[in-house]
Amino acid sequence: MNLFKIFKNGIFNENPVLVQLVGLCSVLAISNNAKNSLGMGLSVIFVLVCSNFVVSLIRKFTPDKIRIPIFIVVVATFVTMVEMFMKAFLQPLYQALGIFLPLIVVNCIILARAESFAYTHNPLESIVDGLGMGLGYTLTITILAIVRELIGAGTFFGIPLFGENFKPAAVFVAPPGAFILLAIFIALFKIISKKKATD
Amino acid sequence: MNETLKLGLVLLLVCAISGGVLAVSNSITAPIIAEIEKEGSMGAFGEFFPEADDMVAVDEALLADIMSNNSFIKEIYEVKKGEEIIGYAFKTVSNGYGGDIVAVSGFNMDGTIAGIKVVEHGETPNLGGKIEEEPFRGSFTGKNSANELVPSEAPSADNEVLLISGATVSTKGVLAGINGAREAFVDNFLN
Repeated sequence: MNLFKIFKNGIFNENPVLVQLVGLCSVLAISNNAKNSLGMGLSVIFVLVCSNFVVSLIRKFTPDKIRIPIFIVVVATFVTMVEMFMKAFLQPLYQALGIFLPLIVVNCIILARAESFAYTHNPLESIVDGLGMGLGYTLTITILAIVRELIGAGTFFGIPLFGENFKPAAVFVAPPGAFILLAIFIALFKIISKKKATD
Repeated sequence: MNETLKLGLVLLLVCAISGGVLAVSNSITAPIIAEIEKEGSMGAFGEFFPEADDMVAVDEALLADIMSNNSFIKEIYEVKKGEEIIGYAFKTVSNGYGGDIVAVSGFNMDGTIAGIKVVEHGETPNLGGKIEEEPFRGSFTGKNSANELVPSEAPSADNEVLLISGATVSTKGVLAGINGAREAFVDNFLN
């Protein structure tokens, strides 16, 4: 398969958040702050690329019957590594991500890619797939967070933009705002991709 | 039976490798994490008393006595520079809009407030959440601890601190805890 096509697949055709609707739990929770979203996105990319690579590497030796436990061990290893290093070197981000960092282990995006892609493709293709899917996740969550932060708090990556008198619509950084905006995002994405398909 | 054994062994091997990788990562990061955590517990207070070199928890009997008639106080420390006590630090828990508000506060021996900081809360982001931010925190620093602190939209008097607009409950929640610490400080430690 064409590597570029695999890469693009994760960002557009099968965007994990907007099309597959997986991993929404962390998307809804973290996207109230652009900086944390970017951090979360990068962690997911790292785990996804590494786990895809290793799963693909050992796919020939992995007995079919116990592949899921093996996938989970591989994913959990990388997540724990991210957790340790982030706690040591990026303490504020570690505290902001809280429970959602260890929960990457059970993030459906990662397990789904291991099962449906890496297990049946070679290591290079699997890395590219991990990059594409991870980037699709990161872009979506970061853009969502930028919009939420802008409307809900009047800031861009924590920098105030509109001066003292701006009264932000705080509902957008609260949980309901996440649902409302994510729905709008999904609808827009659908319209755009439909248009592209008919062109 | 044979197959089960083989599957078990494969899984064991995978887990062993994973354990090895994690052990190495842990040995790299554990000392750094331990250092950060040590700084973290001292850190909130360290900000208030830059010249301090030691903090000692006050006598347990005294703490129990103070806690029995002041429900906000959870921990009290003597802040020392050499042998001299230069201030007292308090950890308080009070009720906010979204659950407990945990705050730390420091008082200088001349009776002024050295600073406050909210370390844990469940307030609404961008409304009550502003109790974490500088304009609110800063409005306490340097104020006299002799009188009860009251919130005000435009604090000017020596006992007025910032009332965050739209977050009266959060503001008053923090204030309750800090006033509790202030009272305990004035009654027990300030002479």
